[in-house]
Amino acid sequence: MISDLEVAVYLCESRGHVSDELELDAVVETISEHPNVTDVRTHELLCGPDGHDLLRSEIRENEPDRIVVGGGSLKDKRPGFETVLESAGMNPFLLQMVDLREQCSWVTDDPEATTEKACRLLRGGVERALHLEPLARETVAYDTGVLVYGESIAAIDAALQLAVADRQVYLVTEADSPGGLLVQKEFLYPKDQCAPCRAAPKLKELDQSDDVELIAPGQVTSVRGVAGNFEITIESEPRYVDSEACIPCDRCVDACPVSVPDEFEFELTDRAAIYEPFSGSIPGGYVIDEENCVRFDESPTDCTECADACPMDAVQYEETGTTREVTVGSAIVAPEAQPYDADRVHPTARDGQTDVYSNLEFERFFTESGPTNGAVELRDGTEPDSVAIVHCAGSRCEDHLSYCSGTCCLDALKLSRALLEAVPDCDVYQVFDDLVVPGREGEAYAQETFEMGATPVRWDLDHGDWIDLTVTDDGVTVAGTNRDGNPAELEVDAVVLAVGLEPGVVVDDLAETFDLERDERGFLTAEQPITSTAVARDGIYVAGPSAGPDGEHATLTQGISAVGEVLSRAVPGRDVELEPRRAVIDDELCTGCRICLETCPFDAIDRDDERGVAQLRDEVCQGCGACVSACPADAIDQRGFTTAQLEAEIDGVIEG
Amino acid sequence: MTDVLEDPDRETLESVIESEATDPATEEWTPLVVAFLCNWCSYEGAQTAGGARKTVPANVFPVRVMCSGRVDYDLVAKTLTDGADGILVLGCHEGDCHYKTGNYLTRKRHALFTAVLQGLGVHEDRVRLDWVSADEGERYATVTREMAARVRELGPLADGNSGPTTEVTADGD
Repeated sequence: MISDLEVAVYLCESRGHVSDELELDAVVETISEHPNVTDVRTHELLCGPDGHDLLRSEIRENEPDRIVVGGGSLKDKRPGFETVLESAGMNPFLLQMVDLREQCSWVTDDPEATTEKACRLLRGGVERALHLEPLARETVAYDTGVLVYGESIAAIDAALQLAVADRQVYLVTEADSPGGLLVQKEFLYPKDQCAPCRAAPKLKELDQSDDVELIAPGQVTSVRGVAGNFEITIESEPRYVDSEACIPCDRCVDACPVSVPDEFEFELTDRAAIYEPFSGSIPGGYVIDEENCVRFDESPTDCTECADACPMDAVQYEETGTTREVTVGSAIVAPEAQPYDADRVHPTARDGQTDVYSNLEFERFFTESGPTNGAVELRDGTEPDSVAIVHCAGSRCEDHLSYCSGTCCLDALKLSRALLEAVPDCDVYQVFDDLVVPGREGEAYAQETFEMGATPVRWDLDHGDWIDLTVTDDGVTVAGTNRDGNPAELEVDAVVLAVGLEPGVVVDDLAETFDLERDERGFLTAEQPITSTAVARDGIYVAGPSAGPDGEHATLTQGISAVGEVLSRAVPGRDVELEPRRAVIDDELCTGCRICLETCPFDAIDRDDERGVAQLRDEVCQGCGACVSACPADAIDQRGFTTAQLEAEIDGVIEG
Repeated sequence: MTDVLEDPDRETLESVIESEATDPATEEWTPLVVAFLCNWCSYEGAQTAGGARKTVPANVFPVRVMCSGRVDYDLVAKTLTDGADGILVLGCHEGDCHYKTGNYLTRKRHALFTAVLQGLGVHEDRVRLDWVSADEGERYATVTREMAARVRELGPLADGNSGPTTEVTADGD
């Protein structure tokens, strides 16, 4: 019975900050008159050690049913008082705090009005306290598994590092294999090391790891739950080739009647509809490209050439995609970025006949397994005598990318070096306005490139369209404006456009699915990007070039940074506390109308269709109470903020 | 909110409006305003106002909830019925809700409730929704002072006409 409950009231004088501003005796007298209040004590500093000791001993001695504390900065002080209650054997949720300082004595000038306000606030607190109920601090395990999304080196290294820490990792990539732009490159700044030689062992390690499960190609279609307990739906798409069985011997490739441009080689060469995504791709083996295979395209045939040719019976036309749900505690979203489309910068020159390439396209010429088997050959099969490498192609301008990607200058310089090594007599021009070569090695790398024979051509970016390209019988004319404001031209055999990076197309869907913020340029953004990779939704981290364009090293660092945040949070054996002030649904009153399901910002409510009632997912509820006010049947309440408690508080304030 | 307004056994907003009330001309009358404050922004904003020793009207009484989305307008109606003369509902600025979308829910509910008030002939200014962030102590003080002043202008809710309405809806005449 509420009328039997004994309430002890403790008033903190806050060393005069409360007691000097009002008539403390009058407050004590008024609140003592409340029929449930059995004891009112004042103390000069209740939140100090002496105050805590007093409270603890009084609770032990008098065993009140409810405690009301009046004083200052109550949200900050509450945890300390809760500890006192617990140490005295009392449920900490039977404590009601009333702010008499920031909300009363410090903001009210007149002592009489301050006294009356304090009395009303305390009366509200006492009335609310009478309706408090003991609540439990419950915990669930923080799942140490991690979902990593993306092809980028950030995703690859994140997955590997997590595996080293024995975490269960689900690596989902939109592409047929992780690898991203790293595996399309041949050299890596600053030491011009072989890129595939760095990528291949990482991919092999991923493929062989017992801790990493690769879902490629696949997509994440839903992310429910909260940090520690995410339920993530992954849809895998069929590869049509059993990667365990495929050896890969190429017989299917030879048998396939289809020939389409190979996007991995930037369409500089063709491939069959059954193919190996790239040398060293994982999981091993081939994959059938549904869009172009004559069995699956718009007018399907019953072609079985590849299956007939396969000595391992690895081809499986009947394979279908699967949908599964995994539980993980954290997710790292690190999709690859995409190079800006060079066709959009100089559409006329990019006619497929003229020797105008993007930097990544041109880099394929240096790859032994590339379209020219490692020879720098222009479209007519000859070596170039002169090449202009144009920086800032489609960057830092209104019509294309407004920003500097911070990595294309280094890639442009890198290509000069590779070109001078492969074709020493070639005239190589570096056409730039500003040279963005940050870090301890950048400047030396640039100087060294010019010393090796690359000619710096410094033009004015702010003038007109930056660069005009005109296709001539002999090659391409590059026109611009020099630093003196005069027109300048270069006649070359080939032009390389160093393009920037933009967020991958998949980022649109990811932002929706994972609740991620994007900046005005479309890149994923962490909540505090300077200090953390964490996004606003707890337990989710972003990394990689779609979270901001950058070179391989910075990208990798971001992935590792996200791993650090995950590992320090998701410690095996550490539990996550359920929100004690979560919603509670009354099955008897619930009509199963689903309004709360739509209202909940955290998707924390399911509907039990068999029983026709709403069901709270305790571990997901964040305790906002939005469902309580939405429920038309008054079937939901919020622990610690029940309607009865709020009504009682308001009644107490109004009645004084 | 409909059950409060329609429950025949309860004192309703309508009955309060029509009841005999204190005559502000002859008796000392202090309006009473209940301010629902969300835990993360507005309550913190009120704490900031306190820390900065801003002046907040003594007749504005804070009631903390975790989110403005918890503010049931059923409870708002009941609070007016029980004797408050004005209600402030303060939440995080749009886009800043700690629970992502709670304040948008409140905005929708508030718009509906305003229409109900107009239908009853209660001035819509008696229930004000606004946003106060954790560092907006000055804003908290200003909003509460404006509200206290406005409610004083409108007079006691239980005054038979509840103050002049500025807008009359189709069903409010």
